[in-house]
Amino acid sequence: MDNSRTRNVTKPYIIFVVVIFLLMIFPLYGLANRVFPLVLGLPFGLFWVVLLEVIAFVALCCFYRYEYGNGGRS
Amino acid sequence: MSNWQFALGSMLVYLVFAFVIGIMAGRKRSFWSVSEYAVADRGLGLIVIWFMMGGTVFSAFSFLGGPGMAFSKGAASFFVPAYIALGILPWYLLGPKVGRIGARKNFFTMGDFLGDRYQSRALTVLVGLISVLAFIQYLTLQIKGMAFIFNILTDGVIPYWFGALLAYGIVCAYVATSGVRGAAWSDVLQGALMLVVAWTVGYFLVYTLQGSPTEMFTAINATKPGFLTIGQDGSQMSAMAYSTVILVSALGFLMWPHLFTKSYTTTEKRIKITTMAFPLFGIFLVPVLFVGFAAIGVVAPDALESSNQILPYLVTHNLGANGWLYGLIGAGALAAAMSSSDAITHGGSVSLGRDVILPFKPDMDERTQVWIMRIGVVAIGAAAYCLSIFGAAGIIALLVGAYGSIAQFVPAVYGALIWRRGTKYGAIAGMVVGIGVNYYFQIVAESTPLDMNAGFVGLLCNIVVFVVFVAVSLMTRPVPAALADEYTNA
Repeated sequence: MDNSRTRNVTKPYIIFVVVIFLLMIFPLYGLANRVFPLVLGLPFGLFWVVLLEVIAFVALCCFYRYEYGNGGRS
Repeated sequence: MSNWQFALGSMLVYLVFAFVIGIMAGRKRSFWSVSEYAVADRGLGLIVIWFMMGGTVFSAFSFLGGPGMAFSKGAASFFVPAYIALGILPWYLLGPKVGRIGARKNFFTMGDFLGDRYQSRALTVLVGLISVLAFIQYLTLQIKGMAFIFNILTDGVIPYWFGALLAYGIVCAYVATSGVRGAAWSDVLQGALMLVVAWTVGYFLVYTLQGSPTEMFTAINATKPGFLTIGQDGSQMSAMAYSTVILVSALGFLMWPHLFTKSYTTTEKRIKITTMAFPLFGIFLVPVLFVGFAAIGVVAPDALESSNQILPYLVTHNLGANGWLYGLIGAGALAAAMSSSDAITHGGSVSLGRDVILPFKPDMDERTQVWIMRIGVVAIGAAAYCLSIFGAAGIIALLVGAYGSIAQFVPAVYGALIWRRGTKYGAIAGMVVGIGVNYYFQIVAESTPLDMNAGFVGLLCNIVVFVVFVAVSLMTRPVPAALADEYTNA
């Protein structure tokens, strides 16, 4: 199949996954490992997890759009 | 009408719906095709595949284990939404690759995939066996959950054994008749139902018992400093244990054969959209943890036999008179347990037929294979049912070890896709060592080095052994270059 397109996102995608993984575990998670400030009623450590999930969702939308969307090659 | 009648009524209505949808899903489909039974002829739609992946993840754990963990372990429970979001991410690249190889070579299981890549029937059987054992353990947990919910919400009117038989019997019936399509379509109903229930119940409990989430977490932090953080004074889990459990669960996530084989059931585009929407499931789980947090300060920890009973305990003891809530929770919890059981029972039956039995008699015709898989549903179902009702200490240890060993497939699977020189001896030796180490630390040893997760220690040993073996065997003949290329370039 059209390998050129797949190869295009593979590298950035792997970097993205590694970054999200690292932000979720120690030592980097240590930045968020506290209770205050409470955000949306959540302890900061839990809010951090939710925030990363939202970021992951948005990033995935971008990857997908780049591959198949109007701006990309379908 | 009293509460338990409400609960029983709504659970029965739900069961009827699940049954009808599951059976209807397989109508007018080829009853005797392995491809249809195992992977729905590789043509599941987007909504269905999304709910199926999500519903499978929301197991009995969501309504019983998750709240229990929040109640007893505090911030350690954050690992659940964390690993679910992380676990799916590699699928964006892995899924389409595996799907392309599978369609070209007519694969249905993980054993097919690894066995062909490493040219080893032994590997197929090993993967099949570990999967089936792990599946039975997973099912045992779900069945216990269903039985427990039925029993407690009906005030003991429905006995333990009958609740489990009823709910799980329905699952087996629609899985055996409709295959993966039955599991997938009933998951749409179950997934939608439990999302609604989780949010309603989670927030309802917080607002009734604790005022608001902000007040609740402030109060918890005041009475139990450190409980809402990791690795500090008063925390319930060390930073190392927390990080490694996330890594193992997230990396192992796609190695669960019932999730891995979903790569074969649909198209590249749908795999990518499913991955995209999946981190949202992690967010959907957050209110589930609220249930457990809401109970802190309300329920004394020693009032429970096990922290997993926290949700039913809250409902029956602290919310007295609301019949609707009873019914809603009953149906939602059943849906969560059933939507996992159907996919797992299905996955187990395919693994058993295809990976464990077929290699010993490769000339079986298709009709016999489908029969074996359908009998497998009943056999696996019966085994899990008996274990969950009667228990058996020796077997349980075996199953728990297998359950923790799923992540040990990681090096072999990723190795197949990115490492052309990976050999069968390396893959098998790594996997055997990884599984052995995992068994040892999970069941025999008291503690692990540096407080790492047992599966993580296994995984490290697994990778080292894999690499060393391959390094040694570099002198020997690799698999045919064309075959290795087909995997790395898929």
